[in-house]
Formats: sequence, structure tokens, C-alpha cells
Amino acid sequence: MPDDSNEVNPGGYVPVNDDDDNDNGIADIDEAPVNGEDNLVAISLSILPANLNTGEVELKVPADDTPLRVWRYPDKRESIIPNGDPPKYYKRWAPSELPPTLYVEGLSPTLPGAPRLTLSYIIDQQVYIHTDLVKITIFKLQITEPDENPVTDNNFTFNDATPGVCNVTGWGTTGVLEMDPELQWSISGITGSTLTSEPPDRKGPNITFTYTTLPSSWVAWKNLYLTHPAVSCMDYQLVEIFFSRDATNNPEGINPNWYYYWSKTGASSGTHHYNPGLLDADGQYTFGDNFFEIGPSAKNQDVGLVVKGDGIDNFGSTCLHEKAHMDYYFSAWDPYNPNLDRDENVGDGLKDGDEPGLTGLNGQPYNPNKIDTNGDMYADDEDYARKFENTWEVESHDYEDWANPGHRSDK
Amino acid sequence: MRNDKTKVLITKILMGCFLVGVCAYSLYASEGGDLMDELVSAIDNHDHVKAKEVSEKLKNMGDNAMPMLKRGLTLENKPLKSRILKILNQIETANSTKIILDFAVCEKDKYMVRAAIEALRYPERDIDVEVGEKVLEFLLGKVYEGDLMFSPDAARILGKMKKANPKIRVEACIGALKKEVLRQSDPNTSHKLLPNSYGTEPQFKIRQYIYALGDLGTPAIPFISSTLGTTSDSNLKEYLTICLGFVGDKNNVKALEKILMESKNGEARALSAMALGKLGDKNAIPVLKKALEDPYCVTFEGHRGKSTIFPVKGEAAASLRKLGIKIKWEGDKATVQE
Repeated sequence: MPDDSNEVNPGGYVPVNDDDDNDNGIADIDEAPVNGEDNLVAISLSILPANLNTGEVELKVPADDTPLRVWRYPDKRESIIPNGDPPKYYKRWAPSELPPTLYVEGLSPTLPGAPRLTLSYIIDQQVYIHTDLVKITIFKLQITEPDENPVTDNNFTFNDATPGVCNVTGWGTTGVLEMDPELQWSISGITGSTLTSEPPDRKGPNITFTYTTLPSSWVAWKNLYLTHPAVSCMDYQLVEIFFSRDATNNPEGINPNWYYYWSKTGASSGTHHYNPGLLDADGQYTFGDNFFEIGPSAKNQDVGLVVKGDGIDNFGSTCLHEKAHMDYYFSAWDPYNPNLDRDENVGDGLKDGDEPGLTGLNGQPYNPNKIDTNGDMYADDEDYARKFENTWEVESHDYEDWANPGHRSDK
Repeated sequence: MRNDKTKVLITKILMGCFLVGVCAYSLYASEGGDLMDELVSAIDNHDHVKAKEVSEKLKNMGDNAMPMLKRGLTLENKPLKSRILKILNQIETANSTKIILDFAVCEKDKYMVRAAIEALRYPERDIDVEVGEKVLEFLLGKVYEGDLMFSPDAARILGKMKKANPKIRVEACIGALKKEVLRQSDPNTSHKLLPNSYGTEPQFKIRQYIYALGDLGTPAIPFISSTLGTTSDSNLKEYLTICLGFVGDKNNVKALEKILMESKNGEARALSAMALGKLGDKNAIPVLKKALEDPYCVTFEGHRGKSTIFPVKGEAAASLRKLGIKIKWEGDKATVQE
């Protein structure tokens, strides 16, 4: 039982074992054994001289309401303390049978060094010759906020200012008040944004990380980490970072954020520009242009014969619709020839020769003599583009929607 | 003894068949189960190519895929549901139609309901299945609500449900039509054209309700006629008369001609010209020829800038073509080619 000043100052740290290492839905603290258990702390036991063959060695925890248990094996097999029925809070061995390593499990946070684990050499069953003391602090390192309760409390949004600012706040504890000032926070940066914190040394029970300036491409997932220099474990919490949908504080600063960022997602297709003056439609293609336009209402609910949701769904389906117009123009026209589009002498945008071979949304071919074959008050080329719009699947790109409000911001 | 042997042999053969059947079913069930899992995984991983490939396989399974597709629709995964609705739409059997209808009735998300309605609506086809009260109530409710997103298409679906009670379907469509005619004629409300359309919202809806009644066919005639006999609203009378043309009431040609020549409502004139073409009565040719001079026009924004369309002339020309008359357009003028 060699003495070591570290045994009492600061002593050992043991985490509360309330996770679920074997993924069976039961906290590890409530079951044994636990396959894959990794929260127990090993203690090494030895007695010198090694060849002692008389007396006993006793391991003991003084209080019966002890906040810890001691196990023979790291996967919580064979309880050493407590043991027996009624439970005893000590265990004795012949010196030669003393196990070299035991494993301590924390049950609930304690005052620093409160539980004392003693290892004593005893003769005649009651005469304590020497006692070695280890102080233990049981802690529970955790981020208390955000905790996804409510489910959106880990969502953080850049404000509307230029440059945009997003504050990510966190609260944490070890469960041991005296340890909390040394808590250490971290989060990774976002390319294009500057990252600062308050307090600047990122220490203590609460933290505010501040991202300034919106990035050019959206990185929405971040892990907020909490560690403590005295212990080897950490806690983390996923945080989700959003842009303000209608602000224009993206790096270009010209078009609204939703258009800027959604254009960089898989929801976008074709070559398009934003037109703030396009007020009567979500999108528009003008014959001859090698791009189409997206209007302000594409961020809202879809309207028309084919309705594909709102927000990013409307944007994505509008792109498909307008792209269909543009693709048709370049495959069938370029340049447009009104002599080949004579329906009612006005034309419907589809080449007369193509129309009998094309089918509309209703499954019927187009009539080359009619602007509006199915009589739905839309020219046939609108009906044609809707077939492409109709391939959009609602919510198929929600995973890329980091607008607030948007399809993820309320989740 | 021989009888016993025969019995044993027959029993063995039957058991063999049973086992083969069980194996075949297990094989099918496991493949189907795997396919649905594959589809879920492809969609969750945003693997559009794989999702398309699996969808095609499920589509080719036809009615055999129904249990999996039905199960998929119970999962909380909208992109998956959206895709399954498309697969069901392509399978196009009575079973697939029923599943889409049942889904629409139970679903709470409006865009998913809309997706189900689109799956029933396009491509147009008769919905030749027996439907329960809940489905009918759901569709009737959607028609009455008058919401642009649901009402016109729900009416069109009702029109195609050949096995459902015609009376309640006609009443729903006429009820919605009345509401929209009132809305259109309200002097305090102006209606702008729908984006890229040459019609306003009420005009668009009125057309769809009329087409729905047209799809109902001759069983709708007594109910439409009865409403026509009791209404005093001149606008509604015109539209109901047009409805009779669309359902194929050949006694109605003169009334349609009157609308075409005398109505102050250009849209009603266009629809009456269309109805005359549907009826195919050659006696209407002179009036349709006159309608080629109808000045009613609408200018709307399209891909080639502003376009001006002449709905009455256009429909009169189309109807004349159906009646075997050749039409030539020169500028805004449509003339008969002798």
C-alpha cells in the first residue's frame, strides 16, 4: 500500500454511469453485466511486501449509502462492494489473493473527494495495522442546455444584420459545483465566418460562441463539446445552424438568402436568376434566354395545376417546371419559328409537328390546332412543363433546407 | 389397398404443391420486403438513381406489390409516400386506386393529400372501383370547400367514379359551380388571371366543375335540368345549360346556340362553342361559323411575352373542325376554307 499524494489531492474522478453502452434501452447504472461498458474507472491494489502470508486486506467504503460500487471486472461482473445479503460495504482477502485491479462505478455526483475508499491491512480480524485512503469525486459531465427539449432548442439562426451574427449558447455542469469553473467548451468553425466566444477562454459553466458573417456554402451541423481537464470524458450536443430565410446577408448580399442557398442544393436545377420584379409567378422562362427566372413567391406555397408543397419544395419544383420550358426551347426551337406553331394562329409554344407525339398531364396527345388542348385555361406548353414539375417529390430535399423559417427549422 | 396408395399419393402431391406455394410466397414476400427496405434506404440516402430503379421493380410487380406499398404509406416519411403514390399511380389497377383513395382520406398533411389527388387525377382515367362512404364524404367535402388546391380536382375525380351514386356527385359539382358563379359575378371583387393562364381562378374552377359534370354523362341530366328549372340566376342558368351540352343532352343545341350568340359573358360563349362541338350536331354549324367573328379576347403573359388568345373563336374553330369544316387562321381571323 504505497502512499501517493495524488490519492487524496485531488483524488480520483469517476463518472456517473448513466449511459447505455450496450444500447438496450436500460441505463447501465441499472443493470449488470453490461457488454461494452466503458465508464468504470480501474483502481490498482497492491500490498508490500508481496510475500505477506498472514492477516487480511480489506477494501471498504465507509457509508452504507455510498454513491459508488466496486466491481471485479470492467463489464460489471462480480460485485465487490456491496456484496452479500444483507449487503456488506467492505471486502476482505488473504494478501496473496488480493486482486490487482478493481473497477469503480459512479452512481451519483458527490462533493469533491467525498467518498473515501480505504484499503487496510488487518491482523486478527480486527487490528488495523495500516490504512491507505483514496478520495473519489463522482461527477456527471453534461451539457444541460441545449438538450433538444423542446426539440428546437438546439437550433440557432443568424440574425438579419449585415454581417450576420449567430450566437450559439450552452450551459453545462459536472454536478460538482467546485469543478464547474474549469469546464472547457469547444465548437468547430465555419469556413467564411469568424468564431469568437464569451468568455474568451471558453471556460466555465456557460458559453456563448458567436459566428459572424454567413458562409458561402451552408454547414449546418455542429457539435458543441464540453470537457473538463481533470477527467477524460466529454459530452457533446448537436446544434443546427440556420440562415434567416428572407434576409439578404449572404456573401453576395444581393438576393434573398433562400434563393442564394437553395440554389446551391440538389433542389436546384437548370440555370436561373432571381428576379425580384417577377410578382405574378413563381418562375418564368422567356423564349430565347439561356436561363430562367425565379420570383419572390417561389419561397411560399406552390399554386397551380401541380402543387408540390411550399418553401424549398416550391423552389425545386419551379426549377423543374421552368427548366422543362427552357430545355424544350433549345431542343425544338432556337430560334422560335411562329410558322411552325400555328395553333389558333397564336401558338402554344409547342412545335405543331411535335404535338401529336407528346402527351399532356392527362395522358392525351396535344392538338396542333389548339392552344389549350385540354381546355384547362393554360396553353399546352404549360401543361407540358407541368409533367416535369410533377416529378418533384415533396420533402425530398428537406435535409438541405437550412432556412428559418423552413422545413427543418421547426424540428 | 390400391385406394389407400392412391390417397397417399394424392396427399403427397397436394402437400408438395402446398410446399411449393409456401416457398414461392416466401420468396416473393422476402423480395418484396427487401424492395421496400431498399426503397426506404435509397430515399433516406438521397440516392435518386437507386430509388428510381427500385420503384420500377415495384411497379412491375403490379398488384403483388400492394402489401409493401401499403405498409410504406404508413411510415412517417413524406418523400417515400410521395414516391409510393407515383408507383401506385403507374400500376393503375383497382387495388392501387383504392389504396390511394384510402390514403387521401386518412392523411393529415395537405401536400400529401394533394399528391394523392394528383396521383388519381393524372393521367385521366375512369375510376372504376367501388368506394366506401368515407371516400365519398372526403371528396364531396373537398369539392364543397372550394379550395383551389383541392376542389376542382376532387370534382374531376368524382366525375370519373363511375360506380358511385350520380346524384350526390352531381349535387356536389353543381353546389361548387353555383358558389364559383356567384363569386365570379360579385361586382366588388376583381379577379386577375392565374399565372401563365388566360383564365381567372373562378373561370378555371367553373370549367373544371363543368368538365366533371360532363364526365358524369347522361345520368347527370335529370339533376342538372332540375336545378336549371329552379334557379333564377341568369349566369348560373347559362353555365347549367352548358353543362347539359357537356353531358351529351342533344335537346340542348338551340339553348347553347343562344348563349353563343347572345351571352354577355365571353367565357360562357367559349364554353358553349366547345359544348356544341362535343354534341356534334351539324345544325350548329352556321352559328359556330358566326362565332368565328367573336371579338372576345384575353391577353396573358407567356414565354413569348404577351399573347392574345380568342377563346370563343378558338373553340368555335375547333368545334367546326370536329364537324368536318376546314378552318384557316390569318392573323386574328379564323375563316372557313371552302
